[in-house]
Amino acid sequence: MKTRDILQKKHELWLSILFGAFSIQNEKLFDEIYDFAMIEYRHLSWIGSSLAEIGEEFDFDKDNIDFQADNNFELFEKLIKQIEQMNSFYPQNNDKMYQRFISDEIYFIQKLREYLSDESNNEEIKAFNKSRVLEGYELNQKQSDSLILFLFEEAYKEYELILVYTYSNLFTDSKLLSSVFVDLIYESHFHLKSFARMMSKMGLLAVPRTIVQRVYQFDDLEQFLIDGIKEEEMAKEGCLALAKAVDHPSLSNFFNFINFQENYHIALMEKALAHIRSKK
Amino acid sequence: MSDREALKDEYLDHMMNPRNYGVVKDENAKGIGINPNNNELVEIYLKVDKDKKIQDIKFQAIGCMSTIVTGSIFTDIIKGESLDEASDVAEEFLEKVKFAPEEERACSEMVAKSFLASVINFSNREDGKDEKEYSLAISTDCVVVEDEN
Repeated sequence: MKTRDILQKKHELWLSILFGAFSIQNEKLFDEIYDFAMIEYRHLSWIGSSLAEIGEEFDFDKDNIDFQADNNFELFEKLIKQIEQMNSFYPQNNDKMYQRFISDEIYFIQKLREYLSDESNNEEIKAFNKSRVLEGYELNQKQSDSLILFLFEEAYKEYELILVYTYSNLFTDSKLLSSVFVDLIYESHFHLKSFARMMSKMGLLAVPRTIVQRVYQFDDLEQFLIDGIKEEEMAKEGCLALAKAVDHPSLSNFFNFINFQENYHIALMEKALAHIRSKK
Repeated sequence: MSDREALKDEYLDHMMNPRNYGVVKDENAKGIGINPNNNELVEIYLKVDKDKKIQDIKFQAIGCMSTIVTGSIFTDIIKGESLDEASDVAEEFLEKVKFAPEEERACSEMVAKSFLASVINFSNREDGKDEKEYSLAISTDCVVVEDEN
């Protein structure tokens, strides 16, 4: 299999494990499987890096992500099958990167099998039941609608930003830009996790749609950052509006906290912008 | 459609699982509906058979959730129809949204115009023109209006 095809399969596996983790309500199991997903994300980035090194372009297209299950055990079985299948795509050689992938994934399978051996780990998955109820919070129709729309828009946006900055990071020679991109990637991972966990608890979990190639394969980084700053400002406004609309101490605090993080994203993007302009 | 309507069960389902989202790899028509003011766009890919029926259709978008839901519903309706029938649906769609609030009109217009652009592209390719895609601009802005209630 060609490396760029392996990248697509790795992208799909990352999303399966990530959204599979998001669908689990048990916090301990979620934490452990989320860690596996973050390791798969790093694999994805390394494959991208190996392609960028030889100047080969690639995309983040994906097929359907099969992660929905009725209970944890069904999910674990599904993930084991997908990881085993991934293993069959790797080249049979001594490449250190692929050896690392194989070793990581042997461990993931061992852990998933371990979870399967303990019946107490098997719980019903309610992440797709469209309950729209966020346990512990009494939201009226308008508050709930505002929250749902915000979560759908922003979960997609954070996934998009992870991939846009991952792609940009792989094709930059600048240490400063790379540092900014990496910071922004991990900020978006945190935001995606926060929003997707909420969606899961409300029975609305879904993998974001595929990103149009022109969104990350852009020619003008300066314009991208200018547009990105505008979008961050809009996201800030969205957070503030939502904090006001939900009018609930704990949720409002959370959205104010996210809003304040957006300030720093803007500062990072302005730093990148200044750097690009100084090189002109 | 408004955000409030988007939260009805059927619309919520389209938000979670947009139908026909993506790219037809062996397409024989591609159209783009673009908002020139903010570069939001909808791309439609068609696989049209010899009887000029839409054998496969996919769309992708740079836009808001309303655009995704509209694209999902619209492509679901016209899949399997003839190009003429589907064009009538798109025109009717445009006529209906004429009287909708501006923010709703833009999303629907991008979807309908991307389809009409793909029909033009199909016809141009049939005429032997080497044209990868055809674009039509929309006439309104996608502006989110805050609910005052």
